[in-house]
Amino acid sequence: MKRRYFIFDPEKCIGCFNCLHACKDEHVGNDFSPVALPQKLHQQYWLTTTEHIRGQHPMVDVAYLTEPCGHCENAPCVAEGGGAVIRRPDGVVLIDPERAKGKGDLSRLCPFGKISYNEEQGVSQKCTFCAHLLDEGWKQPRCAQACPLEALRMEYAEPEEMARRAASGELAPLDAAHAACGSALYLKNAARLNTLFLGGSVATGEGPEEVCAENCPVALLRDGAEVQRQRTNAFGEFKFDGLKPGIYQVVISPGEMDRQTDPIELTESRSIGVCRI
Amino acid sequence: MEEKKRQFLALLAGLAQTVQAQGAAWPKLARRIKEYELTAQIRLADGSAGRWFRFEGGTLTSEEGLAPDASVELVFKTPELALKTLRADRDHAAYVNGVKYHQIRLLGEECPAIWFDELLMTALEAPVYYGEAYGLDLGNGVRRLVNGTTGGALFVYVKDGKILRTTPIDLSEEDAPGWTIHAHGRDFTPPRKLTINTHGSGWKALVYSRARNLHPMKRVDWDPDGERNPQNRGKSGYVRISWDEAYRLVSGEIRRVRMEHGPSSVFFQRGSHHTWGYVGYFNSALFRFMNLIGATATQHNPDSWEGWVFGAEHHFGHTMKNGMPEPYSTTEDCLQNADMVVFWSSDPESTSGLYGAYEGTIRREWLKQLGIEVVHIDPYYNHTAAFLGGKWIAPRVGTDTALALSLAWVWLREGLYDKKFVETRTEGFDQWARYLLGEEDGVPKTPEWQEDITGVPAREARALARRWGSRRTYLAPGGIPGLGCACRSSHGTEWTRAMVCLMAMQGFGKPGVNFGNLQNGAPLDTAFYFPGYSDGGICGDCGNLTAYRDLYNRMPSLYGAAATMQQIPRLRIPEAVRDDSAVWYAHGFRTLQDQFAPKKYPLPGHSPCRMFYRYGTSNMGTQPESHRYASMYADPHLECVVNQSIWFEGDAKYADIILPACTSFERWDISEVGHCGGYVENNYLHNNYRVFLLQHKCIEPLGESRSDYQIFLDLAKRLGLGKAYCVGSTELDWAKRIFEASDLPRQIRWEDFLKKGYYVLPAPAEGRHDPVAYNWYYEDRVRDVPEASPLAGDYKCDADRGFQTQSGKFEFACSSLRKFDPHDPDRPVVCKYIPSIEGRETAGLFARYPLQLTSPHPRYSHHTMMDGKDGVANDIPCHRRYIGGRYYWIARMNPSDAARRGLAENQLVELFNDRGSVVCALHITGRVPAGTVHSYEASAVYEPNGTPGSAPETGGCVNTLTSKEFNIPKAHSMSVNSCLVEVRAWKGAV
Repeated sequence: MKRRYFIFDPEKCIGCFNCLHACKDEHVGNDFSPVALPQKLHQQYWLTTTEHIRGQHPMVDVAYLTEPCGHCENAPCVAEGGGAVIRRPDGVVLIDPERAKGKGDLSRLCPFGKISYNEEQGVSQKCTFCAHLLDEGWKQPRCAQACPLEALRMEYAEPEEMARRAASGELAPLDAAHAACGSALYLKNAARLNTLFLGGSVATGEGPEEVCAENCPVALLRDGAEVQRQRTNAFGEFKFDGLKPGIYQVVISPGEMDRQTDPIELTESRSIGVCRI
Repeated sequence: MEEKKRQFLALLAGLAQTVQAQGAAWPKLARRIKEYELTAQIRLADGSAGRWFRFEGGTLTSEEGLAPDASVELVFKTPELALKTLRADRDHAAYVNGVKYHQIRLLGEECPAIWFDELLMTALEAPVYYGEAYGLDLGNGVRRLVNGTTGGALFVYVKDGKILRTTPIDLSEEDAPGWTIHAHGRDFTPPRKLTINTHGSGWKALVYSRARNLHPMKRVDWDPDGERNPQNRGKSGYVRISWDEAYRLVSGEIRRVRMEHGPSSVFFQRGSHHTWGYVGYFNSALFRFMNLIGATATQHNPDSWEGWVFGAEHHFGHTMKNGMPEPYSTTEDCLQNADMVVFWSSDPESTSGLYGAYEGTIRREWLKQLGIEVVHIDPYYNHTAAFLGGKWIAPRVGTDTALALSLAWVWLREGLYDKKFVETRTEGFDQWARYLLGEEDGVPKTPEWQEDITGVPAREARALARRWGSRRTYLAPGGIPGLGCACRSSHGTEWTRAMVCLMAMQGFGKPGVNFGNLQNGAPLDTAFYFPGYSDGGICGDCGNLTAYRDLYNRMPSLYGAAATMQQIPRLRIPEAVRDDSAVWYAHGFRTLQDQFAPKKYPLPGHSPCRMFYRYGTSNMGTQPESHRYASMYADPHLECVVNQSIWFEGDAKYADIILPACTSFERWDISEVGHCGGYVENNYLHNNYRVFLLQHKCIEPLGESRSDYQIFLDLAKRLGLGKAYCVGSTELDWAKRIFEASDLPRQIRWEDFLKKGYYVLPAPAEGRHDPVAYNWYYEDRVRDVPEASPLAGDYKCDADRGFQTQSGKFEFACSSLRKFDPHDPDRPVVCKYIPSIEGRETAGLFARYPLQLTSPHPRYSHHTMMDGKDGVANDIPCHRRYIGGRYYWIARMNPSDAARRGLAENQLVELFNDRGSVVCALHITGRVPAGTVHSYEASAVYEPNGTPGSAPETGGCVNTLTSKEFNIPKAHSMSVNSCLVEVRAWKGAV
């Protein structure tokens, strides 16, 4: 049976926060019972966007992670919500405002921090997938509709289809914990968010003759074995991406003789600076 | 009785019946009918025919004939004039002419007379005015309406008189299809939607903000008949007053200062942007009123252009566009022919170009898909860099020109430039070459030379020069292109000059070599006329705005021109108020030489300002050395300060009287998405579609707030200028008049436009896209791009050939500057590197304040719009940080600088220098190089932690720290990105 999924692609997210604004626009001041009571204007977030910065000047990159509720298949909030949290046949997980009233703060039920308590309404709340709109025929929830490059999308798909796409590497769960809960939030290009880079640049010559070594072969070794190879760009730069933490070595091969760095312990993305050949 | 008179009388009888019938049908009209009890009549001037209308207890009785007790009269010289003008589809030229030459007279007290006139005209379109017969009915009491913002167009869902939601506009099947660009074997066409950015998407919260001014207010200790207590502005509280009282006080003060001091003693200042729409925009409703009362205007510095106006213009003209390059068809040319794009001080993902929402983002995504190489030169790893990746080069703040000169040096030495273009299409290259090679000053402008200044490794400058010099490269200097932080710094003039000189060396205008970053120059229909906001809307000012180019000959108007030439330069308002004196050099739109004539305030025989009419926004957030503005309000020269503002923020807290204005969602308006007209000619080319909006009045104004237009009209009525202000039109009438003045009636009927709220213009057919910018110049042809500038009067004699320079060519050595002052050390005849007046070279100051502050235009707010005001942008963690129950502005710093000072993420810190201090939340980030602090300008919140004008500022107005010095002395332009600070932990209360 088809189920609703969120797909987020950090390659297309420009960090504009239109999704947050759209969520607030829809849910603050509006009562969409029984789907949801109004959200608080401030200090309550049914989705979050966080900035992921890797490296620092002169080699840095930035991506964002936008994370609404995963509407998990094995949602702890449904299991332990005492009937206050329900899962619809289309996979949308809703906190029933009526049943949740009087149950206090249910935020402990979500291991991912996606449930928040609204003391103004006296009820715990979370992302509703804008079910009140989807049920009226809207093609996307508000957050996704406002996304300029469609980095965040809702897809209505068979679980088998999604499993196939995940197996093919096109999609990935946010992490193992989300996967274990059967989260409906999948990432495209997940490597932008959960891997490291090791970069640097190669220079040659001295004084006014010093130039960036372009097109210079550079290899990355792990445990003595080559894991990646590339050529430097016009600025003599290389950037090995998609790495896990570990001990690496960089081998620069400008010509006759290779130059090998000392072992580098990579715990966070960084540039090793200029290698002169 | 002759036929025309009979028709006249029949028309009047019909009018009476219409008012009666529509009054019965629409309760809102019935309420308006109740507003006055009087007898009015419409008659011919000779008294030979007429009809009276008696309003009593909410009912209208009317009979043919004249009433001796009529207190309001509408008098026509001829019946023909009435037949042409007393109808929904009024002949406006006939009406304006009739009013101008007293052939149509509205007699009686202004308030009831204009009420009667409006009643008649609105009754003729009662279903629109009173029955809300517009928008799309979605059932369940929900209507979908349309409105506009500076961040894009919106659908506005309304239910029970409240805004339910606002969304971007997804286009439908019936809207015209978009264009297609073919590049590298692929077809690119924009998606079927209009984008909004963050300052377009948060409006509902701003409309219903707790910070709204909902009632007229008076400062408790300001007494126009007694003590005015100017020293308490910004300190003492307010008391609510009625609109009648507010109008009485404001119109009374306007009358008084005009009589006591002279008309120019009223001084007004608006912000740089307003709520969207051409009727309500400042150039429109505000200017119309201020011109009527002869007020002194603020002369704006070329806000975000600064260096372009006083620099690049001298090389290639473009004065009417503030020195910005042509954009035409550059999107297509860039995607098809460019190998590389250099973004230099260019962050369109933050600034949206100008009003461009995320339209350009979609096109830059194609750049990414095609793998076209990009380089970002900016001391901050900006959001465009974050999106596109590529090579990041971070020169020290304010040193960009040195890097640029070294590129030119490499090109010159290695022959990596377009020698034919330089030889045949430019002048003065040899003189610049001598400077570059060091023959003039003994210093060759080598990559090594620039490394000492910029911190950019010489080898990287060399690599960039060789890469650029050997590939077809687009350069985006600034966000549009044009604008850019680097031009808003000390000698930012030289940076803009360097940018255009580099492109002249590369022969701009040949395929793949031009100015652009895909933000501008989409292939849209530029032959279709629709005005932009700077074309003046309802103002009719042919002198000061760009109305003189098009709108004036399409929309007849009355009394539009400014009555005084006296102005006050915005960057010197506090000094002008204090000293009754100011001297500056202003940017001239019309000719290159305009900017060389010094200007003075006050003008001979003119009164200096004694009453300040401020129109929204915040000087403290946006203007340099901004404590000056807060201090200014205590000056007794300001006898009365009025602030007309939507929100209680910024300067509004320093007023004697606050007039509550409403947002664009609470009034009628009309606009084209993103089109500002005039100084950014054809700015709609930022968009993927040309879209025209009939901005519906979505809800009634909140509280007692009123539209700007209504406030000015009400004040005008009390000054005996009401009829001259409105010229027989309501706000919606004015919107209709702008519609009629445009080419839109060819495409859509008014009724359909009014109902739907928007219209999408078909894209031009393939093969009919505009010629690519500057290709005409490159090939030495007659100009063929769709521009009406420069003016012939500032043009060498062969019209439409060449540039607006003395030689008609691109001038590396500027003949205009040679004539003005060949020895000006701050603006030499050729582009040079001139050290900043506040930077690493100012050794003494740098020793005390070793960090360079860069403060670009903000990403999540549009200047002060969307920031503060209890809006939702506060909750964006990249915009403000929530600490101890308050939302603090963010300052960004490199990890090494933070570690050296023992500062931690999210800690409250104080940025300070001799000019003041600002409390911010610290964000430690590798996006900023060591030695640089990044914090956006334009906080809407000014909250001194003590005496305004001196105490530490806790709202985030980093302009408290920036210098008021112009970027060159003979100018009127900011140098805010030349600012040294130190940062320490904030020890004060949270």
